[in-house]
Amino acid sequence: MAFGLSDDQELFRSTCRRALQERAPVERVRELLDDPVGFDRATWAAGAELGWTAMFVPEELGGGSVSGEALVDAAIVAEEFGRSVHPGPALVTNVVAAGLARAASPELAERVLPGIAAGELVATWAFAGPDDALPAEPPVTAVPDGAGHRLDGVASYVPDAAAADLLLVSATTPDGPAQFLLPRDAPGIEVQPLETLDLARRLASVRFTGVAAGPETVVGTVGGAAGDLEHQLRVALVLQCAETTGATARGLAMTVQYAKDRVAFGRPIGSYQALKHRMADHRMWLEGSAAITAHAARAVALDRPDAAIAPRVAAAHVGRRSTATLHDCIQLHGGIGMTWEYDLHLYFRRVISNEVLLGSPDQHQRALVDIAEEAAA
Amino acid sequence: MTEQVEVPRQEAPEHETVPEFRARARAWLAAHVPLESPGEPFLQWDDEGVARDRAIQRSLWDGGIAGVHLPREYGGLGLSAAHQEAFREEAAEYRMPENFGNAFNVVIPTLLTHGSELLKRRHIPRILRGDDIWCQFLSEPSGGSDLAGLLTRAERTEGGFVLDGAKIWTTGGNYSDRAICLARTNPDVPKHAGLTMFVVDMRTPGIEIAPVRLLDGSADFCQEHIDDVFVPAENVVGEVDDGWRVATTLMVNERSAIGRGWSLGGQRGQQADTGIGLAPELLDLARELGRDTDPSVRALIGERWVLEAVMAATTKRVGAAIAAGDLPGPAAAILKAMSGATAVRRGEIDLAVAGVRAAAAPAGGGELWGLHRLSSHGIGGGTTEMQRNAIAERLLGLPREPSDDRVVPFRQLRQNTRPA
Repeated sequence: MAFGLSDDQELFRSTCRRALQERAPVERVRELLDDPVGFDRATWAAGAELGWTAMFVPEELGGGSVSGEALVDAAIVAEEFGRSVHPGPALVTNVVAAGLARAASPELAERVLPGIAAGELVATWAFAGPDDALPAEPPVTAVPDGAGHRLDGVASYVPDAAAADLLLVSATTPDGPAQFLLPRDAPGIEVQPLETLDLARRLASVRFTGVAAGPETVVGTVGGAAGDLEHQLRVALVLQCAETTGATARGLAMTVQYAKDRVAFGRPIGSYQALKHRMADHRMWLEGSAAITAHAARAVALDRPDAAIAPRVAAAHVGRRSTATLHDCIQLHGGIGMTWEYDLHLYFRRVISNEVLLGSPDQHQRALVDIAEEAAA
Repeated sequence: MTEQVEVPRQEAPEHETVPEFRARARAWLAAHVPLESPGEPFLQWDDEGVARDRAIQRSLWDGGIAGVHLPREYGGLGLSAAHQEAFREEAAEYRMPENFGNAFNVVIPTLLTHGSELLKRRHIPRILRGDDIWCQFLSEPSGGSDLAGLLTRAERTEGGFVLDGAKIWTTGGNYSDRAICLARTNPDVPKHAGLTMFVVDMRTPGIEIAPVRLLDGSADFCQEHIDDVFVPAENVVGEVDDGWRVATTLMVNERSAIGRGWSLGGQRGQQADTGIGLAPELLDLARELGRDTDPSVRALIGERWVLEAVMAATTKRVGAAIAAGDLPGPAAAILKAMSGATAVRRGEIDLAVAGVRAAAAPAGGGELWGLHRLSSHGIGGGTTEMQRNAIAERLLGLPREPSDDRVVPFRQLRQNTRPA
């Protein structure tokens, strides 16, 4: 993302990077690998002071972004998180904040957005099914019940659900999709942690059993939330691409440094074209990742004509190429690359996980064909 | 050597703000220069296209809008980079004389850096007036990537040098008036230290030009035999035996022009600006073949759009980053390497979707989809392997492959050969 940022954004990036280096170096990330919550509340609070969860919140509710480009600023944070395989819910909290800023009633927004901006409330989003990251219909159902709705079903792969204060639940109603913002400890909500490939990320299944959702919890309109879900997905894809790009940049930088330092057969292994050409290809695709992610961030932020297309293009490219790059980074390291102690697998795990968590490259590519056909129809 | 060269001047106001210049350029272009028509090839490299480009360049000169940021003492307008950018923006919709691309993108900046006063005064105005199209005599049949290992000799003679050898991969050699030519003046020093850059008049007796037909049937390049060609001493660019420095400048200029999109007008096809489009051709083909409902075919069609969108976004970003100094010039190698890799994958996808249709099409109609797989995009203009070296060594800072060819006198090296 480096190119095309304002001075304020560059400053924001370097502040984020320094905070992460000081408070959450990879040693600290490793200490938290077995922690059930999986992230550090003190770092979270420090991040809130830097504005990590404030950018989508309107200024009158205590939020604001460095540059006025909320999604670009959030993508800067995401990229730095990737660079440090940082754990915790800042990215998904921002996706929820973007959804609420777009669709929540003024009362609901006033009730929760200041807390999100200040880092006092952790929010997450429940939308995926057990077998599909992007189900055609959300897996949780909501049926009218008195003045409100009754929610049943299981949402899967919910990030940081155990630590969350708020759940934004996408649900299927007889009238179409709807969204509800519920306290995570509402009666009938049960969080079941999952074993994750990405050791620095917590995912859970969330079971809803007869959960009562009053009218004050509705985000947007019941039955009319398809556009809100789509917008949240676009924001989430952009942030995920930025995070993956950061992780890939870091993994490749580690590999290039290793290739300069390690000597075999009488010279640094990075001087062999058989190896350096592979690193050059990875650098090339990484530039593509940064370019298409930056393009997608602005396409979504400004609601350009390609706002539906660009994040899917980015996700397909970034997902596929980054996993291939990190795999080859492990290979280029040789023996050390396959050890638990060497940090590279932490980045590799995040990148693989990100390739599929919001839909696979193939899914996104097929979605592009759907979009083209709808446009032609 | 100190022969006086009269430098002609364009008719243009003495002092002009950017908006004033922009308005004047806009009016002249609208009245005198044809619009770019859709689907027109970037370079029209035939008699008609070359004649048209000469006329367009001449018209820019007549309108006083040629060589906007080039020094007045060499026929330019001496205006700022902002004026030049305004010209590029105004010109984006118009047919630009792209056959002068080498002259403007590569030759002029190289002459400005290394050329003698005589060479600058003599040649730059001729380019601005549409008189001279230039090509580059760099690669040789014996070697393209190892440029410094070239074999063409330049031996001192009365009043200048005599050149003997061969050049190849000259874009537009058959239409060019001048060449900028790298040749070996001293084989008794290491290879980089014995080269000299010359200006060669293409009409000098002894230059024999032939087109090179490529695997897809096109003939965009030429090769030249150089047989006892006399070049006056005043045509040396820079110093004798210091040609590698000149060649390096030339290649830096070339790369940064590639980064800008090479065009003399504004960037065309600004896909990343106007949004990513989803071109319908391959989806239409899949529908015609009844394959458009196959999920794997749909994923491939989507991947093709992804490839093109990423290429476009990267082109824009890297070009802008080089211009702003955020990436070094060699970063342009990313674009060259990516365009090669993208072309290969695009060809694979087209072959997979088209199936047997890729092998043959009705004569005189219908697209021969297999041509997309018959790509050689990773070679022309510098092989993908050389781009990878540039990325690895110049961007990532990885060490070179050790070799003694930089320290041993050229005469003692095993020289570039091409298997018979």
